[in-house]
Amino acid sequence: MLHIKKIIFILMFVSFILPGYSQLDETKMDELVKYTFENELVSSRFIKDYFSIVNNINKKSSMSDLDKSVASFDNNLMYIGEYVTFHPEIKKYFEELENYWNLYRISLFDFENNDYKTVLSKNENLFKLQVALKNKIFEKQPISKKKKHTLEKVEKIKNNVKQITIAYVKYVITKNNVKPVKSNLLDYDLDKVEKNIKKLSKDKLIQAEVNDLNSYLNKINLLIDTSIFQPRSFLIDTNIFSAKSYNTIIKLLQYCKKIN
Amino acid sequence: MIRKKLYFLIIILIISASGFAQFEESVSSEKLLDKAYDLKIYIQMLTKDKLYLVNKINTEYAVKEFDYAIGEINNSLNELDLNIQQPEQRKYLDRIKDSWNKLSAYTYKDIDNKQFYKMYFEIQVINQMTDDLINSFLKINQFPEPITNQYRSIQELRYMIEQIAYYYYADYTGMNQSFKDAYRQNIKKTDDFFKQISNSIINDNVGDKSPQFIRVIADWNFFKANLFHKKFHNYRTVFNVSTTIDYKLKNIKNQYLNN
Repeated sequence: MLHIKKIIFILMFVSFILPGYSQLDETKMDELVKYTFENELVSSRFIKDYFSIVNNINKKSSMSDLDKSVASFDNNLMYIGEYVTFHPEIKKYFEELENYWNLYRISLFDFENNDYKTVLSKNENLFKLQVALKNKIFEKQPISKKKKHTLEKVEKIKNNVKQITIAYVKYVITKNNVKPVKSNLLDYDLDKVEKNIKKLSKDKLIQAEVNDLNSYLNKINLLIDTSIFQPRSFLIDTNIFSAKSYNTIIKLLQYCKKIN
Repeated sequence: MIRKKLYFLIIILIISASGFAQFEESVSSEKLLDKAYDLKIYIQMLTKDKLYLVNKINTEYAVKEFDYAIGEINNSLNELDLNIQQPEQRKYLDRIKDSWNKLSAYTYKDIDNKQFYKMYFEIQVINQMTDDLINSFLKINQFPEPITNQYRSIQELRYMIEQIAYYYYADYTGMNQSFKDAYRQNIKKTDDFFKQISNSIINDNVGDKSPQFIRVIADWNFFKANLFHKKFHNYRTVFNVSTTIDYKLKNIKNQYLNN
């Protein structure tokens, strides 16, 4: 009996003197996940809007969208910054992302130079830093299998938006004789998007939304195949696809909150 | 013997209680100064938010910040009301409260641009009174150097940023030349102020004030760049970056206050 008491005391003592990092409570973790995913989705829009502005496609609306996206990214980043302080290693990843964003966001409003290649490559770097931060968060604060499974679906939807956005940029470059850029940053795979949609449509929770997304994917495929250059239509379809995907992601994240 | 012990205990208790009272007083004068500054900042924030709401711009964020600002103003007014005894300060506070009550006719209602500018006039009165209150606190109390220097600078910066974000959108709705001149002067004044105070905060190694302030400088440079875009108005970005800057500056000023 005495030994057990001693062991408990030693364990308690050790836990006190070890540098213990606090964990986020579940509600805060859910919020952190929401802002992180939201920002990944928002960053897909930057290149689409910038590219539309410099190529004069739906310029006014694209300017307004870019303003909205940058404002939203900044706001979410502020919340992420507040939550990540619970672990110094995660904070380090966050600071790297924030420093990069501070430099990148200035070039997003520099339309005079029309340097879409630089913006494209910077956007990809931003994306990588966001993924690295997210992975670090999940490494330090693991989540349940059920939640992980739902977030995998969110990941798929988010990647679909990225693929559609790249398809739009490449479409305008190819058909509008914009000086092309030799880079794998413009590689996209709409077949993969279709496969993702097919898999996602099995989930009854988001079945209606996913079927809707499928109809927009079909339209986009038709636009790519037709000989008439319709950048405005493509942009609008991309915007709708992105907005509907966002709503689907929100639905999944709300469901995720309820899972223990 | 027991009686002696009891007297001794009572004396000890009185001494420690009076010590506590003194301690409370000195903390509370700093806290009150902070509440007076907050009043000034949140009223400016509320003005900006209301202008965005009147024009139905960035409502998603403006409505949240507006609600937050009203809460902070009421909270600050309440704290000041409960604790201010000094007659001159009491006079300023009563006039602020009076103006704030008049303002509620505009703040809690749906108003148009014309009514907004009437509200703006009342806000100018509150601003003047709040400045008088702050100056009175600074005159009467002996605050330590970080409060009179860095803390005050940070609070002034918060106010200036809110004012610029307000002017930015007021410019968009079409303001007169004198407003425009004031707007441009404000940007320059804030830029100069940043340069003037940067060294003392960046070189402060206590807490994380220095890295936080470096982040604020990056935000300010981005904010400034957005103010001068001639071809389009990105008022949402300007609005949200002003919120981000305020959040970071608030963290820094709290560190000075809690030092």
